Amino acid sequence: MKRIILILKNDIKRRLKSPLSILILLIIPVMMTGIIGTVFSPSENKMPKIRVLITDNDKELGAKVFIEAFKSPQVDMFQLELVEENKGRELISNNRGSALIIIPSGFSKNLLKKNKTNLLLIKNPSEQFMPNIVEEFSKTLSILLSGAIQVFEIDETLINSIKGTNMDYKSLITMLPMLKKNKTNAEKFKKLMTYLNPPLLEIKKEITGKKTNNTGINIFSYILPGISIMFLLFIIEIFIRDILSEREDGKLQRMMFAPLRACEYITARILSGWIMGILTYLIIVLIGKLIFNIDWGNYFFLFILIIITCFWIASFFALLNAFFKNRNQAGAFVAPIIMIFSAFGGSIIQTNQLPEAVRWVSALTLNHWFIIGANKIRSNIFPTTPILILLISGIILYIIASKALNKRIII
Amino acid sequence: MEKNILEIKNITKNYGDLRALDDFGFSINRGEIIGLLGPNGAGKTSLISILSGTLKDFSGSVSFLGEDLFKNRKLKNNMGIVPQDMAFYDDLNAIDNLMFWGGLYDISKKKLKERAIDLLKIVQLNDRAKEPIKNFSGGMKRRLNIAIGLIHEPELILLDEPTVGIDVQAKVSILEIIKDLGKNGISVIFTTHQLSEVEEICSRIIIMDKGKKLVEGTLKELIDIVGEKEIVEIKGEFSIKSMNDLKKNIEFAEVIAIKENYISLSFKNTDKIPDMMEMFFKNKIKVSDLKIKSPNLETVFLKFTGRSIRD
Repeated sequence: MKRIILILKNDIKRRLKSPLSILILLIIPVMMTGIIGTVFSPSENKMPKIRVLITDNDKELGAKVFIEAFKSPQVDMFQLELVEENKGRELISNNRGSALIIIPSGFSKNLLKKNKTNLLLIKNPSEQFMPNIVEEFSKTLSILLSGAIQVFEIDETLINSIKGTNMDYKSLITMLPMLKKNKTNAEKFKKLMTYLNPPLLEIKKEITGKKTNNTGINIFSYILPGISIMFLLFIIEIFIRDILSEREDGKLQRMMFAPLRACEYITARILSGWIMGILTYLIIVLIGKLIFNIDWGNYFFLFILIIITCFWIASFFALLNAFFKNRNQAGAFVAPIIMIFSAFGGSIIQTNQLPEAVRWVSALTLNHWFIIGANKIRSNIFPTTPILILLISGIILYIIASKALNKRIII
Repeated sequence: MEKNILEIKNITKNYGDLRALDDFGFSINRGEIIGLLGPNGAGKTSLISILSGTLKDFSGSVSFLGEDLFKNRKLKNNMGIVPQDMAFYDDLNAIDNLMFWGGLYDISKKKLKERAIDLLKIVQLNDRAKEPIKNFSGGMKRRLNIAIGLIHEPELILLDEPTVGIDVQAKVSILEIIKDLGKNGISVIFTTHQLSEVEEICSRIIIMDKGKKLVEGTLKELIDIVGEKEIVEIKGEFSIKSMNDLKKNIEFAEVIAIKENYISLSFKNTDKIPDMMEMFFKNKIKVSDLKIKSPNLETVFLKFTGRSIRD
């Protein structure tokens, strides 16, 4: 035991003195998570405004009301720009607007005469959701505008009487009944205001439970476990590869000249990869929490999953190193093996996006079970199945690896 | 006190059809420095692996300090190795390395530290003790390699080509350290390809090839086998076959070794050299170089192995 601890302490000391390779392998998953997460993150506060282009060929009250509605602070989701039709079409084709609304000339007149009239909406085909939002908002506005004109019986005479005033559209709307001096309309308006204000139906907001920092879906919590497990495979492999390098450069022979048993050496090597893997992953967990505000879920469950996962990886690579002839051979085989694990295990693409014919392969990978485990833990569920599968297969790998390595050391 | 510190008896090891060690054996006394010589493939690595315990399935026995080496693991506390490779951690400093390698033996931490400081003085690295080894020169690394082998105060140390790849000054310094080991009662098994080093420091020499011990003795005893004759080395344009054909007619000299474009002969009387040259010319054999020298370890090695130690 004394010698196992000595080798372990020596490994930690060595890695701390030359931490560059490990640091690089730690930084890469964090950076990748940051980049991918930022690209796909649905950040609430920074939602881009929808760029709406309007061509106003009418320039009368109806058009003004319609345009002003897009500027309303309550809506605050549109960035409005008034453009000529040709310019507007050009901007849409250059992907510099979500939608172009063309208000035809005579739009207000037709409305006031209660004739049917049209608004032309040109949607940007390159965007998926934003033009649809503009369409829905325009439809709602059209219904409201049609309704208001019909309820208040607003006509051309009334509009003409206020032409040339500097009143904004809100004041105009408020004053319309009075300006018309039409008792009936004024009463209708009053009545409507009575019905509308205060509204009978009101939506009340209630927030239950404790406030957490988790603002909805944190995309980083889905990306980081997958990517980090891929790099954890690389990191632990570096430690386990010492078995090969020490055999090649005479250190193993020198150690075996001491009263050190082969089994002690093998245990020390696997333990070294195991413990360094745990420490490394704990750093990833911490970085994930501090930088990406990832809620990992139950940390005790997560710790168990990490311990078992690192044990599995250390045993797996110890077994592989029992068959590799030298470091070069290991270098040639290990990267493709890790990439296959990652591709089929869900680190690179989600397993449900794999072709159905090869989806079963993912169950043979560590990445798959770790990602399932991490997802369950995020929901505060103990991942019994992933942990049992990794633990049992890890123990089997350890037993086979120990025997195979022993055969390589004692010929 | 027992005379033989290590006794290797009748070791035979096969790798399939290949016999790596063939009934090999020797013993070493306390404070003795033995030169173990053999060309590549002679079986030295197999012997070292057997002593380290990493090679099994061999016949024969190894007795160390009067006990079976493989039955008492603690005996390894009295045996050390300086491998041919720089077998230490480059990213650690000299003290850290000595503490780690020494820690593998049953020795107290306090004693280990004292010993590490003493050894660094002996190998003249005390002023670089805390510097990472990757900054060391080749000679400094070789000296540290030796210090690591000695950290646990072994009674027997195996030095596997400890002077390879270093400059003359560093070599002299290392040979001095090895000589001192012998004077301090530490037994040394020394393997090298530098025969001059063996001539300089070893009290006894063993020549082995193809797993067999070919000859054993002091330098004088070995040279006596070749005899007090002049050695003539001839280089030219000739094949081994043509020399073997010619060999039958050479009565005035003893052929020591024949290689491609090379023949080495031992002459009782150097007056006969012109006769031999005449024979060469008659047989239209081109000679490009001829050297006459006194017999040395190289001559002995050539005689017994038929090839140079670097072959």
